[in-house]
Amino acid sequence: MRDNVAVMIKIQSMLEKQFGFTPEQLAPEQVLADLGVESLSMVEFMFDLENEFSIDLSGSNNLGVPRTVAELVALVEAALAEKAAAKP
Amino acid sequence: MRRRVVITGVGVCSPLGHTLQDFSEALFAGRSAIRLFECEADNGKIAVPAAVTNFDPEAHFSKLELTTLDRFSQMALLAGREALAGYPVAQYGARTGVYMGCGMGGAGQIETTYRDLFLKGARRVRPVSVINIMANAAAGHLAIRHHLAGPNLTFSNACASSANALGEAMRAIRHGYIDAAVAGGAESLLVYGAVHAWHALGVLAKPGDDVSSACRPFSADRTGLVLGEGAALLLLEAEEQALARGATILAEVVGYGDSCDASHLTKPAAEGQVRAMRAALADAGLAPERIGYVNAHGTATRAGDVEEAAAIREVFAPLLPPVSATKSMHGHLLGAAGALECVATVCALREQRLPPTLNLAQPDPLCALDCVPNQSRAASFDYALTNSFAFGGSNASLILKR
Repeated sequence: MRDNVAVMIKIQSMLEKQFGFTPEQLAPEQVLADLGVESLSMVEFMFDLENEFSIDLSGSNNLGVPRTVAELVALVEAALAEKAAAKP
Repeated sequence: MRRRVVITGVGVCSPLGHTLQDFSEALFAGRSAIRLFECEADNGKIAVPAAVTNFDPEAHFSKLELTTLDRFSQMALLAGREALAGYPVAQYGARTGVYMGCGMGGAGQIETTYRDLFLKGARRVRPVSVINIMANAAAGHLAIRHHLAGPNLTFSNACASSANALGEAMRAIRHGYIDAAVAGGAESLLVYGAVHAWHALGVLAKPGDDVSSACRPFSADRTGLVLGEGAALLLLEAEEQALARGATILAEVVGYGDSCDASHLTKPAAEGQVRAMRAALADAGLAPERIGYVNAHGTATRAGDVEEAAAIREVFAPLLPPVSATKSMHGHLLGAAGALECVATVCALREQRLPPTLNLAQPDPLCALDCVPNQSRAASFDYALTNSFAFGGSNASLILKR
């Protein structure tokens, strides 16, 4: 759970830096499309997430395209877990 | 079908100002926007005279929007917003097109992407690379932002791009394929790699003692062209639509002619330019003596100036109209040059005033024309012609009526 909070905080701060949102706009249940993050900017942001967390968001998960801040966090969490499991 | 096509909106994002009024004032005051422009990369730097368009992207766009907007698209949107102010898109957007000119596309993103890949050793590049680099990005953004659902075309004919865009838009409206178009161009390539590429071509002006006077069209002491950046867009409408909605008509586009030298990629040929100007005159149904002002392509390269002067003499002699090269003030906007100079021509017709050719200290005897040296002056005229000639040999001439 502590990891989950850390990931959430990190992603919120990345969204603030990259797209200029305020912390108040980034509640976990916030739908990103309602802030104007459409598919192209979402792909761009996921590229940054991959670099930041050294993860691969391209295929192995089955969570679909994240709609909310919380779903983004869940996606990153799943990828981090996958990475940890893959370690010898 | 042959309808009259009028200009009912103008927007600029230019080195001489960000509104039509600022641009017009600077144009007639004879102000130069040319400065020494330096750009740096990890492994070197380069300095050339250039005309930069100063604006703060974050004052106009959110960070989210800027993710998918390279600089030329930002400028196009700023110019487009001014050109389309008050245009009822809900009513007319479905039959309004976007006709853009752009030479290079997103030069800033090209540089960032390749620098990451080749210099910084990135294993992959940003997902927005393609959509920010593509030359028609600006046209797409204009359509999305303003709900313009007609044809969406981008012409890439180097320095004739936006004159072609305007001419083709005029034809499409005249012949009834669409009722209106926002047409013009955008270009921004003042980045390290692109400036180096232009420098390598050996056509750029030297800074000299006073860099603001580096661009000297038709002057014997010219040293080359000066790069500029910016966007200019014009709202063209079928006259009947403009009248029906009570729009202010700024000028009419009455003639368009285009041709190709078909002789050399970079060396211009008067013969090809003559054909473009004569085609525009024929299209407008005008005798040459009706033209009261020519806005020259006038880049301040020796080959370009001498050929254009010869072509103008060939078309207009013995009654040579005054000719000016406004690139001496705003530099060469390449894919946006034809559109910005079309705006300058609109200003000239409306103000009944000829913008000057700056820095004409030593008129080149091989360019014996009245080049409106150094200061604007009043004139009385109804028709003006503007030339745009390009690497590749493309020539485009537009004729506007007051």
